[in-house]
Amino acid sequence: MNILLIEDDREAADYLKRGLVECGHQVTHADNGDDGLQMALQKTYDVLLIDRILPRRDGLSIIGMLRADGNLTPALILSALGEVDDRVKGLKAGGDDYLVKPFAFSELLARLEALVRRSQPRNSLGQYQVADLVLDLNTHLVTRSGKRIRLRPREFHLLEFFMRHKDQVITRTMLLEQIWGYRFDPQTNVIDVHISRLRIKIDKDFSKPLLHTVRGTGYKLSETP
Amino acid sequence: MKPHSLLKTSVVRMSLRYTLLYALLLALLYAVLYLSSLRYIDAQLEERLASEIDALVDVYNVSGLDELRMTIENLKSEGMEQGRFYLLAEKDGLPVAGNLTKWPHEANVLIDSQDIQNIWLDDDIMIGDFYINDAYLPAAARKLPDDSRLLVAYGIEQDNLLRELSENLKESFGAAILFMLLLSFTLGKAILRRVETINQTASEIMSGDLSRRIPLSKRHDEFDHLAQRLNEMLDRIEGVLRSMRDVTDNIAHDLKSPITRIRNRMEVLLLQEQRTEEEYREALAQTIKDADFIIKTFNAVLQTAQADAGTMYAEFSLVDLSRLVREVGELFAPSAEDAGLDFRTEHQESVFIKGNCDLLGQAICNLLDNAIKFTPRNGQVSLELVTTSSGADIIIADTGPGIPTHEYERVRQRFVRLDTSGQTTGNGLGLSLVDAIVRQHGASLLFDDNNPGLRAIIRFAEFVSNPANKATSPA
Repeated sequence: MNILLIEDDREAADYLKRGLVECGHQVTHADNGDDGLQMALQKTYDVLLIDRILPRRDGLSIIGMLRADGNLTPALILSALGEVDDRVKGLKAGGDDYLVKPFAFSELLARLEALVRRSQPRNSLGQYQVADLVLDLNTHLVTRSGKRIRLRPREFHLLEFFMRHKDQVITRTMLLEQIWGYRFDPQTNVIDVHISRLRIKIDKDFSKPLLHTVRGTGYKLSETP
Repeated sequence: MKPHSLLKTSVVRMSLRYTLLYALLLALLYAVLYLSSLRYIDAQLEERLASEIDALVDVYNVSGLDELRMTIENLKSEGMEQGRFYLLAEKDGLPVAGNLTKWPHEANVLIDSQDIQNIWLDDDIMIGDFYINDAYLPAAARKLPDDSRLLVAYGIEQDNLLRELSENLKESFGAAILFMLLLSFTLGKAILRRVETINQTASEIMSGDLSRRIPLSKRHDEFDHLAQRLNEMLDRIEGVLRSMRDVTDNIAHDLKSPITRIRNRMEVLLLQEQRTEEEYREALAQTIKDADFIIKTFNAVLQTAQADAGTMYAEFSLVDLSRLVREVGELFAPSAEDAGLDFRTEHQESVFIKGNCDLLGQAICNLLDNAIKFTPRNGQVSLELVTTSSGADIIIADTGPGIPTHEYERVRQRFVRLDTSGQTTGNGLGLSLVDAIVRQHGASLLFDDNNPGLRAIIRFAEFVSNPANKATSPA
């Protein structure tokens, strides 16, 4: 990924840059709003990582200017402010995702990837397929190696989401947001319980597991762990 | 703080202003009264003047010049005391009798006109010192048959009625102003005394005694209302401060252990020169875990504080409680099942309230999580939404150990954990967050005995069933 990081806190910027580079991404850094906006306008990036409050130009204003200019590069807003309304404002201004400091680096990485990587296409039959696991959106049937797997509606949504984001790490909060539509931390393992149920249904009777736990981060549906 | 000077109180200032205005109006009124009285007295005076001079002419006609001279001599002494002037003069103006030393030239006109008119009397022709300066007095003059002349003049000042009137006006004016001043100062003093008690209490509070309150009088007047309001405000501030202090203490206590753990782990790690990569990785992973705990605690504290202070300006919209309860129930069902519990969710359809879906979801989650965590295997946990005459209730009931009745209030406070054995995890912020969210929604959090177990109830006094516009149902 080619990332433009606009962050005025030098230490935070350094460690974010280092982490992202070590994960194989290119990072360009701007330490104020004006420079950030100029850089975003001059070059094309895969994703913008923008601090909410910046010297010279506010993060939301940068996104607003870019969107007004027709620049649709996905943007993730970082914020120290945790108020609910702030997130709404950020998303209204044209941000694509919002993360409140302090956050886990793995959470940031997962969300950046989700913003950049395109959803898996469906095949000509309107199905998602990962290895021998097939989910049919028209018939709502799920099969693995031709064997029918019965899922509850929520499990079906979960699996559909994982298949659409094949090979991507999905965090628990992302699941809670995307599948249940909630923006809060349940502070408990409810999501894991749902995942383990789904896993039993799609992996238990088969030799090759597809739904993997990514330690300390979340889950990933993939042919390779 | 310096005590207020009486002159600086708004009441006294205002009264002084009004006193001045009042004085001006009163003066105007008195002036009109005085002038109209003057005109009346003038007319009376002229009448008396005319009748007196006619009487004197009669004395001459009946008794002759000598008798007139005697009469005037008699009148003279009384006149000198009261400002009346008489003059009997010969044909050429030479004075014969009276208290004027010279026939005024102007008086000749009066003889011709037979009228009463004001003439000037010089200071030096007036005998006696009734007038110190020249006087302009109404006068009448007659020519007697033997060509000698008679003049009578008297000033209005000698009129008793007028003297009395102006005297009275002066006195009553002074009394009225004095009364106004007295009234304003008493009023100011009374108000100042009431304000001073508030002031004093404020000073005492500022010097550190937060428990001080403004004493109330039994009058139930606006000052008492104000004082009561201020006292309520002080109660609230004191409460917030106390809970802040508790929170600070508790945060310090709660964060001390993970921070100490991190520090010690790192220190031990550095004690030996060489360690396996495995050991380093393990230590770092543990450190991340501890850091996560710290962050979680901080976030929870922050969120509770925001909800508490009402500064978490969450966007409120129409929330479909039925749907929320159904979904949260469904979210927790597998966890409850794994914990070996009989879990059921029941809800009435179409119950809507104004609120924030995420916050309410968090509140229900926390209560449900507690219920599942504390209820032993084979127990029962239920999540219900029912509407009663008193509103819409979300009820989370379990068959766990419950909460002793006397602890119902305390568990809402931050960092309070009833289980002192340390067996259960959690930061003790869950219920305080629920309480804060519920209060932010204008709802109430109630606890009840489930015999056995706990019934936690979130009660919304107001709800809408089947709103006309369902446009803003929760996401």
